[in-house]
Amino acid sequence: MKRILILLLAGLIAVLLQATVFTWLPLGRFKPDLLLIVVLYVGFFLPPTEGGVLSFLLGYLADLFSGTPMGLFTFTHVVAWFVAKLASGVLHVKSTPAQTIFVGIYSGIDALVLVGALRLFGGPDYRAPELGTGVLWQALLNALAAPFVITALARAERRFESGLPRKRLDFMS
Amino acid sequence: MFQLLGRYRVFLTAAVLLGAASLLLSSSLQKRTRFSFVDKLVFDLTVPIQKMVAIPAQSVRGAWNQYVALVHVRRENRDLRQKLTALGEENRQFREALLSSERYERVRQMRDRLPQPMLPATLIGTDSSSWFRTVFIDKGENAGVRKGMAVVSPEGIVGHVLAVSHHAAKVLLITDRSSAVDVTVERSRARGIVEGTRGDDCQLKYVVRGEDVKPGDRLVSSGMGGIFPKGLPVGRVARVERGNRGLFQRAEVEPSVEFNRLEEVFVILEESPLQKLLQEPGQPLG
Repeated sequence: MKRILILLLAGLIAVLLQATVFTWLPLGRFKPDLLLIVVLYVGFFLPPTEGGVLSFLLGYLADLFSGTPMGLFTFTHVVAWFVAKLASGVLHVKSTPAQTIFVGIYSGIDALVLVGALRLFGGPDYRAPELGTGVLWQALLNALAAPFVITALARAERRFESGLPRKRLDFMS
Repeated sequence: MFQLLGRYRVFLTAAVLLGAASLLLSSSLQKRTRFSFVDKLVFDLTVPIQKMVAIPAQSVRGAWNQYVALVHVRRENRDLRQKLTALGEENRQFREALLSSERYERVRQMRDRLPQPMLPATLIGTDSSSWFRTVFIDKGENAGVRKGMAVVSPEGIVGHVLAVSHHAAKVLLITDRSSAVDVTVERSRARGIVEGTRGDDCQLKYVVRGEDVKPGDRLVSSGMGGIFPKGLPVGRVARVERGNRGLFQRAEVEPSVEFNRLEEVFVILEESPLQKLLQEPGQPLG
């Protein structure tokens, strides 16, 4: 329970940073999606039920702070969690380069899931080619932010919850 | 049975949660955006934090823009350091005063033009994602803000209120893909729709091919969309595209408002006739 609260708080901080401070970064209209990284972390390290529910709540939080129809980010973040959960059984994302690559690649997939969900549910029409270089920028920013966010999350978890299995810390380089 | 459920726990959890998310998404698309009690509560709880971050950050940014550029010049011109700093400071004060007076003048002109009551509001945050264009303002239901109200600045139309909580509101900018504003070309009175694009600009669509539209033309709201009052600046035509085929021509539009520098806006508190009509309960015919 404590773990879930820590990660929920981390998600809230991430979304608030994205909605305020990141606006003033000289990165044009793009900003790192810290919340997506938190969801991927949850997919990798939390048990299925807790992780799934947490990704749902984090997605709901993203919907509140965005101009999307409510539920869009809830949907895409549950998909992100599911993909990360499946990937955690196959991949061993131990080093910083591996984390960077995984988050970068998934960010591209996330944009396609977003466009697909909008198409599927009849929301505003975003054409995939229009996302174009935007997706690459977003993926690059997320990938660069990933090692820092993952390290911070692992440290926060270790600090506030003693007795975590060592296995989970393998994610750290 | 339980063993089987345990084995496919990830898939079952994903299926249940994706189903719930799909229900939420399709119901919100059906009802359009409306905050529930829980949404309002969560949103309102974060307003003080957003304000706490936004206001000092805006001050720091202002200080950065005003001083750091001068420090850089000073380094390049060491001999004139003292004089330059003094002149720079004097210049900054004059410029600040000039900008303030220009801003007040623009606000006064806007108020003269619009008879509707207006509520000033400060921006406290922007969309948390990179794909959508919304901002958050520090006024909500308690200040009289309602869903669908127009949001303007002295430079022109900003957007409209998408969702509202007790102390804050979410505003959809005209640069968002899902935004559409009915406009008139000020010079030729040609009509069209301004929609958001993937970038920070807009595009003018559905202007009949034969209509007269040129780069540099000013676009103003036609008042026909049901949200924005007539005659408010929307943007300026940057480039016109007339294909060889089709009924309509298309143009790129530079919005009148510089959204990256937006700090204060005004909510037009009067609901449009269309909004009032939509809120009225249906009457049986005959």
